[in-house]
Amino acid sequence: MKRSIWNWLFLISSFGLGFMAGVLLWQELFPEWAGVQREYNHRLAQVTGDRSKAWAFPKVQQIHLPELKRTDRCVTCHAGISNPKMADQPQPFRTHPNLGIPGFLEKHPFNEIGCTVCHHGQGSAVEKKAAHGPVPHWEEPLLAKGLIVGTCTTCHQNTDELKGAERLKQAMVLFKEKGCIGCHNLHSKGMVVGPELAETFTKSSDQFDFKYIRGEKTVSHWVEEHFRNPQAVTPGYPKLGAPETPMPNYGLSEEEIRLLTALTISFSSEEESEEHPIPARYRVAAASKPVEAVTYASKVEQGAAVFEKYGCIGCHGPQGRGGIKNKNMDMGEEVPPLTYVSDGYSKEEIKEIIREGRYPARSNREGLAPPLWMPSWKGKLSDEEIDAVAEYLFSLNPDKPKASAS
Amino acid sequence: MSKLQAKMSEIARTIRMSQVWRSIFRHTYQDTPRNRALMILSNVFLHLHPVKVRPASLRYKYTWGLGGLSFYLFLILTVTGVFLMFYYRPTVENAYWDMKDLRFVVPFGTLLRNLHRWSAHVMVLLVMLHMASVFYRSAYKPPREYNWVVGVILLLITFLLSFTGYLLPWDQLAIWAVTVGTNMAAATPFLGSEGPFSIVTPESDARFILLGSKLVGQAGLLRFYVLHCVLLPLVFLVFVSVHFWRVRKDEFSAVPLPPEEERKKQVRPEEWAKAHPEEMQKKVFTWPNLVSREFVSALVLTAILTAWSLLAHAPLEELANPNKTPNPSKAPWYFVGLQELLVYFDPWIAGVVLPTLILVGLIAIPYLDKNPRGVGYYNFRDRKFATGLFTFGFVLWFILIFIGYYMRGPGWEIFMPWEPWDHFRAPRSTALHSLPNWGGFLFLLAYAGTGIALWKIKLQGFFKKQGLGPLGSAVVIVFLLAMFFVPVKIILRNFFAIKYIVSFPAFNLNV
Repeated sequence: MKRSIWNWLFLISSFGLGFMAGVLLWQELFPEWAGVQREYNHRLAQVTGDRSKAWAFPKVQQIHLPELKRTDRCVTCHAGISNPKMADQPQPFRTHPNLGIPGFLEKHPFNEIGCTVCHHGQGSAVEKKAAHGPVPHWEEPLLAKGLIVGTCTTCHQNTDELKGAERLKQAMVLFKEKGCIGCHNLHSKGMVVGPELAETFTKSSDQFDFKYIRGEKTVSHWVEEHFRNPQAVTPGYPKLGAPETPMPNYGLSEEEIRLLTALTISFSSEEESEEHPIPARYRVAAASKPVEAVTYASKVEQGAAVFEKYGCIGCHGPQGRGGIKNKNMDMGEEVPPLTYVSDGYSKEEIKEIIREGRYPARSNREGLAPPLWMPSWKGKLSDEEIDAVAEYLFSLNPDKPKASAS
Repeated sequence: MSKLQAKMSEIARTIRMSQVWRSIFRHTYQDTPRNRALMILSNVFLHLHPVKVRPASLRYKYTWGLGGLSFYLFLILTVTGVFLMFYYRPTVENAYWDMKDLRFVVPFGTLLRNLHRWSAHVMVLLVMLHMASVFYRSAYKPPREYNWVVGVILLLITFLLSFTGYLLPWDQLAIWAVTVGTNMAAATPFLGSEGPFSIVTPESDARFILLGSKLVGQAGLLRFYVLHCVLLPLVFLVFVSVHFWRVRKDEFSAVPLPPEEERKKQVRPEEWAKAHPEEMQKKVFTWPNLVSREFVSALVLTAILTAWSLLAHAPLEELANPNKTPNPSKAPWYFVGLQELLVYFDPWIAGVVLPTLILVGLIAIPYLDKNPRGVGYYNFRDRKFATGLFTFGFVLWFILIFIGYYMRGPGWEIFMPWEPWDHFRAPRSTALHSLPNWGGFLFLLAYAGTGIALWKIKLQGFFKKQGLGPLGSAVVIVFLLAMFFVPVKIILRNFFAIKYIVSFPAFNLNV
C-alpha cells in the first residue's frame, strides 16, 4: 500500500514523540542524583544495621540560606557529611572531615553555612558536572583541595592565628618575601604597577586572556599558570606596542604557586559581595592585639624594615641585590641592583628618585617600553621613611665603611 | 462472547443516546458529507475554517503551513509560558535563581523552559517566513490588503513578545541584550534623551517609559514581565482574531494550478482559472482534508521542538551584573541586523528611523503594488520589480543578522564564524573621515537625483501602466532610495572610509 507523505510524517512524528516522552520520563524518574542517593541509603542501612533506611525514597535535599543568597543542593549526593557513622565511606558518601581541628565541625554547622561558601561550585545544581564545574557561565567552580583555605577569609577577618589556615600564613610570608605589594594594590593599599589583587577572583573568566593557556578556562587555572610563567601567559601585544607583563618570573615551586593562588583567593574572599552577602553575625573578628610600638636600633635598620614592608624587594631583590628581568631596559635588561647605589648618587638624588619615580631608558630605542618602572612613592612613604630607606641603601655598599653615622 | 458484545453495544448505545452525550456532541461520527460539514460548523475552534476549500489550498508547497504553525507556536508558548509563570518571580533577587531551579529541580522544568525558548525563536522565524510567502504569492492583493497590515502588526507584536521575554531570565545575556535594545529607544529623535532634537531628559524619555528607569533594573524587569505575560499576548490575540476572521471572510487565496501541459505553454493560473470557472468552484471538505494536514504539521513541529529541547538547553549565562559589560553585548538575533547597522549609522537611524521605515514600508506594500498578477500562486515573472525589491530587503535583513550574529566578536570586530574570539586582538581600525557638509548635501542631492532620474527614465511608464498615481510613485521612490541607502552607506564606510555624509554635532544629527 502506498502511503502519502502525510501518513509517513504522522507515523514518524508520533513514534518520535512517544520515544522522546519515554526519554523525558526516564530522565525525570531516574536522575543522576537519585542513583547516588539510593547507593547512600544502602550504605547507611549497612552501617547502621537498619534495613528500612535502604528503602528511603530519594529526594532533592538542600540547605537554603536566604541571608547568604545561597541554596546548596550538594547534600543531595553528599548526604553523609554530618553523619559521623559515614566516616570510612568513599566520596561522595563520607562524613566531612574535621581537618584535624578540634571543634571544627561544631563551629561550622552545615545547615547554617552551607557548602559553596567555602568550597565554591554551583550549589543550585544537582548534576555532578554542573555542580562541580568548570561549566560555562558559572564563574566559581569547585575549588581544588589546596585552594579551599583561601575562602576562610570570607568570615574570618584575621587568619594569622586560625587553626587550619596555616597555609595562608605560610603564603603571607611568601607574599612579603617576594614584595608583591611593591607593585600591586591590595584592598587599594599598595602600588599601581600591577592590578588590584583583591579583584582577581571577582572578575569573570573572559576578562582573562586564555590564548596561551591549555586546559580549563577558570580564573584559578589562569592565576596558577601566570605564577608559573608570567611572560608565557601574558607576552603582551608587540604589534600594539604593549610590552609583556611586568610581573617577574620568580621561579616558584608548585607548592608556592598553590599557596599564592590560595592567598589570592583569600584576598577576593575578603571583599564584600552583593551576589553572596555575608551577614555580620557570621563574621569572626580579628583578635585585638595591642599594637606594639616598634623601635629601631638605627636608621639603617628602620630603612631595611621599610624596604621590606613596601615591597621594594619585589623588583630590587633582597638587600637590593637585584636580579629581576626588565626587558629592553638599559643596564643589562634588569632592574638595577642597589648595592652600589652610593657610588653613583647622592642621598638627595636617591630620595628624589624614590619620591618622584623614574621611567627606565630603553636599551633598544625602537623596542617596546620596559614593562617595569619605578613608581612615585610620594604620599605612600613619609619623609622619615624615605630618609631611612636612603640611609639603608647607602649602608649596602660593601666597599664603603658601614658607619656612615655622620 | 456475542452475548457480552451485545451487552456492550447496548451500553454504548445508551450512552450515545443519553441527554448528556447528545448535549455535548451534536452529531454522529459516521463518515457522511453532512457530518463532515458539521465537524467544522458545530465546533467553535474548527469553525475558523470554511466547510469546504479548494484543493489548491491543501498543497503544502503553497503556504508551507507557515501561518497556522506560527499560531500553533503561539499556543505552545502560551501553555509552556503559563506553566513557567508558576515558578518564576519577576524580581531581581529571585528571577535568575528561579531559572536555576527550573533547570535543576522543577519536574520537567528544563523541558518547559527549553520548549518555550526554542519555540519563541522558531515563531519569530516562521512569522517572517510567513510574511515572505504571502508576499511571493500576492496574497495581500485586493481584497486582502488590510489583512496584510494586520499581519505586519502581528509581526511587530511577535518581535516585542520575544524581546520582552528575553529579559526575564535576568542573566548577562538578558540585561545586556535589552540594554542594547532600549538604548536605541533613548536615541529616538525628539522623544529620546540622546537622540537628535531631544526635548526630553533621561528621566522622561522613551527609554524611561520602557524601563521605568535609566538602566535595566527591577522596574524594567517588572514592566517587561507584565508586557510579556499579559499585555502583549492580549493585544496579539485581538489582532490574530481579526487576522483569522479576515482569512475566513476573504477565503484562502490559492488558485488551482493548470495541468502540466498548459503550464509548459506559459499559461498563468489566473487566466486558466478564468477559462475554467468550474475549476474555481471545485471544492473538498475541510474535514478531514485540511484539518488532518494541519494536525500532522503541528505534530511534526512538536516533534522537532521536543527533540531540539532534549538536545540543547536554553541559554542561561551568569547572573545579571550591571557593572560587567560583556564584550560583545548582542541584541536578540532578530534585532542583531539593526545592531549591525549601528556600525554604519547613528542609533537614531539604525534603531528608530530604519525600523519605522521598514514597518511603514511593509504596511504600504498592498497599497502601492497595483499589479493584479500572481494572486494565489508563486509568480516571479510578472512582478519582477515587486519581488526584486522585496527579496533585496528580505535578504539584506538576514545577511545583516548573519554578519552581526556569527561574524562579530569582541569590540564588534569581524571574526569568521570558525575563528575563536580573541578578546585581545588588535582592532582593524582605519582612519575614518566625514564628508564636509556641503559635499554631503551634494551627495544626498545626487542620490535623490539618481532616484528621480531612475523614475523618469525607467519606471514612469511602468508605474503608469500599473495605475500608480504621482503620489504613489513618489512614495515608492522614497522607500526605494531609503532601502538602498543602507548598502550605499555600507560601501561608503568600508571602501571609502567615510563616517558621516552630513553631520551636525550640535543637534546630535549625523547621517
